[in-house]
Amino acid sequence: MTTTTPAPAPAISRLRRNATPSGKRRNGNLIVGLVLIGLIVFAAVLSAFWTPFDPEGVFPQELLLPPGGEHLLGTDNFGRDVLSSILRGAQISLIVGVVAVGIAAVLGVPFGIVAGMNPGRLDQFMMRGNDILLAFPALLLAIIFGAVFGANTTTAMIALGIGSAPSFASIARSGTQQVMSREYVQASKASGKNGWFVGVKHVLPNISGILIVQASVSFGIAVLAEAALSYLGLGTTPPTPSWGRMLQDAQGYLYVQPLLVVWPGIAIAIAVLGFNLLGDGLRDRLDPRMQVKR
Amino acid sequence: MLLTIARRIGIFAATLVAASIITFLMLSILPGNAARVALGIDATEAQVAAQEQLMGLDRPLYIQFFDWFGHLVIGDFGTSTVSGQEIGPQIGDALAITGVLVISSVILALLFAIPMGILSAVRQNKADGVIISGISQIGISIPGFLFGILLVALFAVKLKWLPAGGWDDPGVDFVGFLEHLILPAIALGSVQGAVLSRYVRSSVLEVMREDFLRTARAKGLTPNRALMRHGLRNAAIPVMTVLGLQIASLLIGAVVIERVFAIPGLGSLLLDKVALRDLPSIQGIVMVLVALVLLLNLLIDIAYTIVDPRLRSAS
Repeated sequence: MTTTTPAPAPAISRLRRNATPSGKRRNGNLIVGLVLIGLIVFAAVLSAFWTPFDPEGVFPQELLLPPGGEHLLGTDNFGRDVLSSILRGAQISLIVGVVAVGIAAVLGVPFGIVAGMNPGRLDQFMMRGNDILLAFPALLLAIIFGAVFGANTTTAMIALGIGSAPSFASIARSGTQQVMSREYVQASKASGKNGWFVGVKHVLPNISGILIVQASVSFGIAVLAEAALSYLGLGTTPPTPSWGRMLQDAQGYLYVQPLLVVWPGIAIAIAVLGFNLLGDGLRDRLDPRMQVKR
Repeated sequence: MLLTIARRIGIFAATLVAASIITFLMLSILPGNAARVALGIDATEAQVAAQEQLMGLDRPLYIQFFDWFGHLVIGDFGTSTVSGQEIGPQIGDALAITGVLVISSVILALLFAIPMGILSAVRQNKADGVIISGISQIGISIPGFLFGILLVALFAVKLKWLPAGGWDDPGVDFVGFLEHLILPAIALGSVQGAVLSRYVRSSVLEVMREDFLRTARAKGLTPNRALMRHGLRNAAIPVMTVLGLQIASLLIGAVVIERVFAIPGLGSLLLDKVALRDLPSIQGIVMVLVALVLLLNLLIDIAYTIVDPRLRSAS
């Protein structure tokens, strides 16, 4: 098995450029993505200081209220204010995204750079190891970790981080291989600089663009995976509000108050769409492979 | 070419063995002793020790691994420490259901993606082409399990056309089987269909710029006929790659979808066993999933080698 990075993305961007030669839509992706993510970040920060009601507050006399009135988005089966839970839920999504992507980058990037800088046996050996990890999709890894260590946010974050590390390693490796063939790297090596110097001074800055794109894509995947895990009861534990958990609760009350699934659903879709668009927009700007044919 | 394929199969086997070691270690070394789980929390240390001996857990880890792996190779997954049932047949039954679900969702995804992708490529600067692209972007952003819940809300709760969940054996009630299959298959295939339609679109656009298509036009074919006769076959190759890569993620996505619709497939089985902390069963199910992911990757690689002559001698 060869280590395949998710290669097809370039083709999409290339033809999007085709669709709008002015390149306006490329900036559009970036801007819309940033606005959507801005919304999520705003909700997370705001809810740290203020929410309309206590998101963990239970009001037994106000169960399953429809939207409108005092509770703008209604209340759930425990009488909790839905809007407050949605706002606070943004926190856990962002935290999981940041930690998971951080772990993935810290593990995967140095691994990929070392492999890319040492073609031959070491590279092959390291990439075989990477292939083995790739056989464990992040979500499956998170379920295993949940079974072994007990399911909670920390376990989920670590599992998602480890599960996403191989894709960082693949991307860092292929980027490094390209940089290593450049003349300035050859010159640096010829002037006696050691591997560390070349790696940190030349390789890392030059692959930072594709790594940022990968981080954005992975962030979206982590947010999605956290929602899925919490939905399965293997992620964030109650009473901490989480969008996935809200979906799970709401599904039990579909016949009574179907709108309850809509609100966390919209929140998840906004977050995923935001990071997808940001990833696409950044790719057009930062990925050198995309700039060749401009 | 045969040498390359043999090499790939060798690497596949080695990766599979390594993955089985990882699976075994993750679920053996770590806390959550299987003997203690089997006996319950009230068991005394002496009882746990006796149970460990009975289950062979007092042997060195590497012997336990070879014992487990040796049986795995001949298709024996062992017995559950919780229910005492054979694990293999359970996995087999569940896998059949998951397989039907995954294959149906792939078919649905292709039925959506191919026409939509071609249409949005052919009409790339027209309003309808842009609208289709927009729909696919939104489709990618709505996770399958969320889409599944929304489908249930609309078609099961509101319109009452289809069941909200469960499963029917096609041999017993074929209409019921289809009714139970349609919503989960759509939910599972939705993201894949949207992603695929983008690849179909880009692939068709790429092909439309090729010289051989211009030649076909020059020969007197209309643009649409030229595309149909010469273009689509060439556009299909990159789309097949993506499809192959996606089947692995569909397999994992099915775990969540099966929960949404209460389908007794491999995902539901895995989550049930996780809740019970039935470690031997979890090991077996994880191995089946990982083996399938690796096998699909192997098949893609081999298909590539056969289709694309340039790859035959590479690495």
